[in-house]
Amino acid sequence: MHNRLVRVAMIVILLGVLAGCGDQRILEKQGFIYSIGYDWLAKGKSAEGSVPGNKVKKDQLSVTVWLPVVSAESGRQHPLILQTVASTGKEGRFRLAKQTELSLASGQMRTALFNLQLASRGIMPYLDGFMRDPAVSQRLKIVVVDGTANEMLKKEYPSHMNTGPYIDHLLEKEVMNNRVPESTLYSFMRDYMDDGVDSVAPIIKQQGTHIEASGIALFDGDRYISRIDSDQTLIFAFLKGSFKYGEINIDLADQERKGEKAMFSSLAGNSKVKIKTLPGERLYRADISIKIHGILLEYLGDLQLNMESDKERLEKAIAAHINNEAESMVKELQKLGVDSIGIGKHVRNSLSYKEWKNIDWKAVYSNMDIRCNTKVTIQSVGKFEK
Amino acid sequence: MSLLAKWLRPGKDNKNATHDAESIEQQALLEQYPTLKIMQDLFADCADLIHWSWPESQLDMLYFSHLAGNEEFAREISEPFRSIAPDEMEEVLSRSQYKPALDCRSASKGILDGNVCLFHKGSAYLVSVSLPETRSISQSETETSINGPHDGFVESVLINLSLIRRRIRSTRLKALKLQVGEVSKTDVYLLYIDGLANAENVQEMKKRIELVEIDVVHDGNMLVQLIDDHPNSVFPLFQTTERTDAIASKLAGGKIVVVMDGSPSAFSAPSSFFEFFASSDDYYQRWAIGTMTRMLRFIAFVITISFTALYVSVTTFHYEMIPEDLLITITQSRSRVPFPPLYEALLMEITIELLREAGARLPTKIGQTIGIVGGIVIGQAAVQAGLTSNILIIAVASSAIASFVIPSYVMSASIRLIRFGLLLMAGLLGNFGIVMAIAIIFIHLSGLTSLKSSYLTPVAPINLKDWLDIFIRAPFSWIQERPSQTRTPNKRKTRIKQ
Repeated sequence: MHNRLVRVAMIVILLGVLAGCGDQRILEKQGFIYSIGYDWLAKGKSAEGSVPGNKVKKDQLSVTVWLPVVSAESGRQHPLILQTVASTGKEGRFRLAKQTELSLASGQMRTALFNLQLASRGIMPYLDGFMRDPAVSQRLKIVVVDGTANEMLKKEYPSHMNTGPYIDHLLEKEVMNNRVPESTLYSFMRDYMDDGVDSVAPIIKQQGTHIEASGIALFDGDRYISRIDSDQTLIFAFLKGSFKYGEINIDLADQERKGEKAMFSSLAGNSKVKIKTLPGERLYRADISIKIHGILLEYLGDLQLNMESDKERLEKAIAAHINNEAESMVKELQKLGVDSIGIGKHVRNSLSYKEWKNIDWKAVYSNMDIRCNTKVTIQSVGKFEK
Repeated sequence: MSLLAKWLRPGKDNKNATHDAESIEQQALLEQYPTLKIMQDLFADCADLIHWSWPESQLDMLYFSHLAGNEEFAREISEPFRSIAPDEMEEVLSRSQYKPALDCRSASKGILDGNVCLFHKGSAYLVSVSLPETRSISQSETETSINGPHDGFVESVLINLSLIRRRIRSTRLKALKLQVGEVSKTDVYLLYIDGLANAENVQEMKKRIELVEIDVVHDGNMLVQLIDDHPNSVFPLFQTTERTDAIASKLAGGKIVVVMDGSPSAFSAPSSFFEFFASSDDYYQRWAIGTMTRMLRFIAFVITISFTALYVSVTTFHYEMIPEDLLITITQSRSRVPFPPLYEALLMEITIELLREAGARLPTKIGQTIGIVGGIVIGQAAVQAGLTSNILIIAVASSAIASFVIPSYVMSASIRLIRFGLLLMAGLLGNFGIVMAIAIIFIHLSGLTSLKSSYLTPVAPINLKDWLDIFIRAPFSWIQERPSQTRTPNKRKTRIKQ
């Protein structure tokens, strides 16, 4: 009884006294980095953040962070943008931390922006740092900036007080609409590590007073190689796999049909890849069958859509159009040598591990015969029919 | 420290010694045949004892007028002895209601129980005229019901027994009469239904009550602490209630019920932790509604113990967990607060407890004032003065409200106490601390027993059939068995014979 009482009393006292020690991160003393941007500074250029007038002597990195801060006096929230020049990402964080009374915390980071120049030199060193830090969310979005991340974060957009959430929400919506692929730290690293697929990331660009998603960045390993423009991104989504929502404008105009246009909405569908082994040099053939169904919102042309036969003709025309675009995109990807669609995964799955290891996938891929086969179903042509 | 320990451990040898010395003298006195002289000596300095004497008929009587009912006194004493000839006296006294008292012990006990002690020519007789003043049967203040019966137990054990007997009209309802309290000699009745209650349980409970060593027991809740399996645990191990319908259903489930004179709280045993979250009202609603309310109480339990602790751990350690939209709001409300989250939370929790305690003891009208003052002070002034954050107020208030959802007042008080442990652990180690504290609670709970059966029944040991009447309130046709915890010889409901 004696011992027990003493012990219990000690524990209670210790709990009271010790509370407050240890690795505390009290909320209002943290500066939550919302967006972090990395820009490449080539030798000889002058950069903000370095000593004014001085030229950068060696290749360096500009690190910019955007964070929401609440001022203790007014209780209001305002954005805080910090920028520094460093030779590595970690050094950048270290220098940034000196510029504020808050301790910089990366546990609420939503977007990591890399400018094109930096991305084409490889982003793995930075992603590696994110992966090591347990506080960084796996859902951190990896984004490529056309321009500089610094300018994008620093600029004030008249209709958006907070640039960080603006970029984040914009991307979330674009992903929902299948206009850009989802690219989180997790999915990027997964595709990076996987040997049958290459990573992709959205590209955003500052356009006057707003930011827009301007395409898809194609990576070879961790290096940016090329891009898919924004009007082609839905085709990429068709090729990539199942999708639940999207809108596409199709211009069917050619010699026969002048000014025929269709706006196809509420798209849903999936694509399947079948691999066939061929004799001879070209080893494998991939058949991508894409199935799309949706609602025709707008149609400018001569066909009478309430007639079944005309509807079928339009379906076929749209399918042919999409098929065309898809095949040319695949060709383009093959030429670049990046397997962003993930054909390699399907090839690998059709082989034994030993066989897969024995082939030189990059070489096989660029020579492969890949065909697309698109089927389009128009579910409805609108609320009323003539 | 050693003094404290000594004070906590009752010195058994000492107590027995004085007790014996006292009793040897008394014992001798009590063994004697009662005479007016001896009885008057026994009750020396009892100013409220009435001595009435008729010298012409050689009749003396001793009694407490405040224990006697007017009608009974008139019937048994005034009328028969008013105009009586001295030679008729023997004949009157030989009637059955006048019981001869053979020693001082029974005579004095009789007087204390509300009898009149008559002395005639050296013989002593007792006649009962008792009608103790009692509160009329009314609704229990702590366990009100919306739909069900409104009668609650009162302080008189006989009335309570009659309330139970009226609900269970069976010869199998047995009542063992026991006594507790060296000084108070309080009557305690142990009730069980023969054939439903486990006989070992009955014997065990009887033994425990008989072995209680204490001067006075004032209430059922006090007796529970003297006889339960783990007196040092914060959790109540036997369920106390003032509701007659609850007690009747416990008896029918094969449990043992103890009612005590002078206390409106009866208790049933064995009880499981989860039973404290059930209310009889659940059975008077449609089963879906009853189930919903019952689940709501378990949610309330989680909210009570964890809400404030989570606030502390998240704002102190785990800012990553806060959703984006809440982050700025919480930071804004925290930004003006001068204390670390733990002290902020302790301040508010203690204030709420102060308010609750102040409100509980005060008369209703002043209690309302306290509520309003407290509500304004806590709700607005504290935030405006920058002492606490809005979000914390919401956390503290919702966990306080949730704690009142739990129908058993005793359990709700226990839970409010362990909440502070969680709070401290959260301030010390964050979520890890919360998990640790919850683990400690569960380790403790799973070590507890109620009348030698596991306190966590029917979760450990698991019994899925019992869940129908513990976690949900299943339709009556589904609940076919009595609770396994009672180890009843008759598992199947609606059957009493073996």
